[in-house]
Amino acid sequence: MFPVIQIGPLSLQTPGIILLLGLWLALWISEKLYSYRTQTFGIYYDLVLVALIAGILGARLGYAAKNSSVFLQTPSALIIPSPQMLDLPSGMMFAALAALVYGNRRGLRFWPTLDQLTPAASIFALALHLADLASGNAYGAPTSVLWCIPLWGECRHPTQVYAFLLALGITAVILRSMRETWPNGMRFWTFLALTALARLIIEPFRGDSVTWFHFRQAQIIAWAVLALSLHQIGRCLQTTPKEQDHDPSG
Amino acid sequence: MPVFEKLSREFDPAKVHFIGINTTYQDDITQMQQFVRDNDLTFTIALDIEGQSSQTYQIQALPTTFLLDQRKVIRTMVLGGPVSEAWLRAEIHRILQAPR
Repeated sequence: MFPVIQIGPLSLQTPGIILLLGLWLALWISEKLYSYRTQTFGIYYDLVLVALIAGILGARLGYAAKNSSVFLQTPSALIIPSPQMLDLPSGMMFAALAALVYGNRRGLRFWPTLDQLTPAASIFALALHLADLASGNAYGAPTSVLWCIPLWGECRHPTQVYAFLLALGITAVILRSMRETWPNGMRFWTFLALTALARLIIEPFRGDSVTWFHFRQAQIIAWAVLALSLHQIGRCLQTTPKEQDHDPSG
Repeated sequence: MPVFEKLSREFDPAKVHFIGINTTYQDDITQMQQFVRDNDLTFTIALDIEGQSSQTYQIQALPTTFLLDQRKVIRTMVLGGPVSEAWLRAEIHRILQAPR
């Protein structure tokens, strides 16, 4: 755990720095991969920026909606610059909607665009797990295995490291897929399926799992995502080569 | 600190327990008691004389806030301050309403 970098009187939040670097690296590598095909990656930077802004706004609105009684009491809390008051699912929904609208206006084709951004997502996932390791979030259950890490008075599974290693494997699969011709959407669904599978594997080692009637919430969601992804991969495989397209800005 | 005091008075103490730990090794018990009196604090405040809690919780920034659920599982933490009242109230409600 390394949550803060102290430079003189300045305290920098390590997870935030890792996430920013991760985002930049993810887009930079994707641009390099994309440049083999066409020179118009700039449009994706704009797309990600639009999605990011909409995502942050949506995450705050979602958080406020979920805690409406609190925010009705103190409406000014809506504009407090606090990174804690964000709701991830709402943020993702707003980001997706904004990206969809922006993509449509710019004439981007849906599935090829998602496929093109999948390597960036898989690289960003690596940063996400490193940020968790730095902050202590997504921590493991107590254990006595040799490779345990001491955290909060107990030796625990380094679940963030497990997640990072699995994400590394997923990234390798996704980057390798860039060399091959895959049906539209398949790269995205493969990433989603593998990510859900990784979560299913890691969740039993987590020490902070939220349970729904004795079932781990994250595993229930991961099973659903995995089932949907496998179904969609099946559909992608039935796609005829004529329907495939690899230039999203087509 | 005023936020914690306000919410400690607002929530049922049988359901939500507030504990403040002074981990500043420069302070002694007299200074801490004075601080409690000056700020009119009514919730439990402890002085970590040997730095045990700082070590156990790996405190690297002050203040650090941990929210634990009914099973004493750490649900969320915030490094640094100030802690927003709205966030603290919302998170306490979320933890109280979460299925056990």
